[in-house]
Amino acid sequence: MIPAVFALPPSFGVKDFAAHRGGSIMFDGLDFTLASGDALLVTGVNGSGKSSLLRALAGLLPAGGTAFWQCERIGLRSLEHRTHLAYIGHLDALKPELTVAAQITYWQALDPNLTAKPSTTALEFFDLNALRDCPVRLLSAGQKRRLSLCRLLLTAAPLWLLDEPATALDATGQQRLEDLIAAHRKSGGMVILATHQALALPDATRLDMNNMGSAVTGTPTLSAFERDMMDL
Amino acid sequence: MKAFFHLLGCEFRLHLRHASRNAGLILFFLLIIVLLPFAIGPEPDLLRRLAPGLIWLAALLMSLLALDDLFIADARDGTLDLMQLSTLPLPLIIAGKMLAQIAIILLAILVMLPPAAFMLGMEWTILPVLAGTFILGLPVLFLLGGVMGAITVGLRRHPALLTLLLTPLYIPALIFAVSACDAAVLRQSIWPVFCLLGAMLALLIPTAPILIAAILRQDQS
Amino acid sequence: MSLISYFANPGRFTRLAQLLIPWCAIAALCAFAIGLYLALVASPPDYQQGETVRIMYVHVPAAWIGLMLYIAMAIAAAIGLVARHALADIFCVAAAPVGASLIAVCLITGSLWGKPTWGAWWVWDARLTSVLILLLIYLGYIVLRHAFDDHEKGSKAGAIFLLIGAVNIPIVRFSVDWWHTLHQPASVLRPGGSSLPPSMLTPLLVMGLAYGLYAVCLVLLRMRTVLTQRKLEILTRAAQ
Repeated sequence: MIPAVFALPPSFGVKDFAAHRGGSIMFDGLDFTLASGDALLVTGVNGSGKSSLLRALAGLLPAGGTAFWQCERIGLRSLEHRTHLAYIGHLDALKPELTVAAQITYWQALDPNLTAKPSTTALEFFDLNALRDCPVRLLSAGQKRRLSLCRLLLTAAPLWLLDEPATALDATGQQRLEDLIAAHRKSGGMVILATHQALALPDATRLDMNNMGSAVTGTPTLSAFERDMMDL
Repeated sequence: MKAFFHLLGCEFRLHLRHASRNAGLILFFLLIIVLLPFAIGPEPDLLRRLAPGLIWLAALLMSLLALDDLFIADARDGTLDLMQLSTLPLPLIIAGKMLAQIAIILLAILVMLPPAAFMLGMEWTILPVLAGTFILGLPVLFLLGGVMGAITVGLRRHPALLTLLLTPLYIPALIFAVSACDAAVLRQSIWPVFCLLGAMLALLIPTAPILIAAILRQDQS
Repeated sequence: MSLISYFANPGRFTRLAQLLIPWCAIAALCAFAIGLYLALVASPPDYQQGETVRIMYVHVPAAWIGLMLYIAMAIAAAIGLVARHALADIFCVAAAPVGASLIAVCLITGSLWGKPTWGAWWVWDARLTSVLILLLIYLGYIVLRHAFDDHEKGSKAGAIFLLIGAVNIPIVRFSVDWWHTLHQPASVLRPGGSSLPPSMLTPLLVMGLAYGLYAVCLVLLRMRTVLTQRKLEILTRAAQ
């Protein structure tokens, strides 16, 4: 299924975005809007909620607040949102027994969104064409990460959610990733990137997760039920 | 629809690459069959009478082993996220996965039935009935196991949690399957029990994938 | 409905529980005293079984309350999943061991009753098997809840498990009607009224009331305990 072509340049935003985990609040009252070509850089210490934010934006984590595509409200778990989205998380989603080529076919079988572009171009971009028939378990950590990032080259989705994409990448790999992100932004896409590595992201809005939730402030933020419990 | 069959084909290929796991499960099944005469005693009449139930018990224990990590691998390597974010409906993906797993295990058990029956001295005439109970009953075991596996997917590995959760749900299926074989031995009609098993399967086939998808979607952190 | 949501606040509920528990305990004690007197002394021996029929007054009410507690837990599980009532899950966690022990009492006393009447400590008929399955479901639920660290996830998982296991309840109730079982068919709740004479029915109902009050008392106590445990966890986490 090829995602619909946008009549206008895409824009994505959230308002009053909040999420909690295990009873304590991770972040609250988050507002931002991304226009075509924008990038959002999410920074923060470990545990400050960067990954949770990205997962919540992808609809994998329950969250409160509203999200907008083209200024129209959208559910983060809806099919429409998933069509506009490409998410690369911490984990590589690789099956050790499959070869590189078979892995791409498997991903494409799981998600038709990943059939928008040919796989050979994707593999070539990250120098993995020579390893087409190599089983995934024999790849190095950096090669696995590059294979995982190939998914970005298979989809035509405008919004990219990237969680620590440059882990295990060497300098060449990092450069390729930066080039890829820049090309995506130039063609009108949007990127939300969570990292604590130094990735070149010109003109990016910064979002520091350290001041959200209860990570560093010291005073715990409690959910409504927990506040009720304090009355016992 | 085409996407479903494409996914099914990919799942089969994945299972074939992972043949050592499935072979291990079949070996486990055969080992139980081999051990049972040592535990019960080699008396041929006793073994012949108990054979259908013993074969079912071995298959049930093997299913518990197979189900223990049904969704764990996908949750651990991040494929579960991909499945949730897919533009295909999650119940469809789950249905494809489970169908591939059930088909492979069922095929393997049907192939292993004649040797198992031979080792326990079971009457050959009830072999078709036993095979029929597996065709209806094994998917029931796996669909129920899939639901419980989805519930426990995020947990630390607890030694017998899945077994404890599934045993109360497996007992009815086991009772029906074995009573079908008993009915066959006594030359009575097997159709009432087959209908019961078929009803359980008919109830589970549409509901289990949807239930599993709903549970997996909730369990994210 | 609004009454239930009024007491969804843990503080209000605990104050209500603190009020109710002593009265329930006293009422349960009185009911047990009267019931046991009626059962063991005042009621007539059975013309077939003699004095052993008196085990019925301990066995049957335990089964009733154990079964009713499971149905209450299943309803609470559904409410917890759909309406997200704060205390629905606390109720399930609190009631599970109480229900499990009542079913265990039912099975043990039933076994003690079965030996003189049927000649066997245990038979694998439909009624006994389905009640054993009920006990296994209770135990499975308790173990499942203990396996979860996150209470929210645990409550959802437990609720789904309870609702799937609820399929067993009609089987327990109607197993004696659907299959030929060694266990006797229903004699109290059946179309056409009870088949027991009043001299036997009254002690049975009084004992049923006693077990019910006892269960309510225990469940309220346990709910208070669980709420205090959860509060302790929140305070510990906040202090870190």
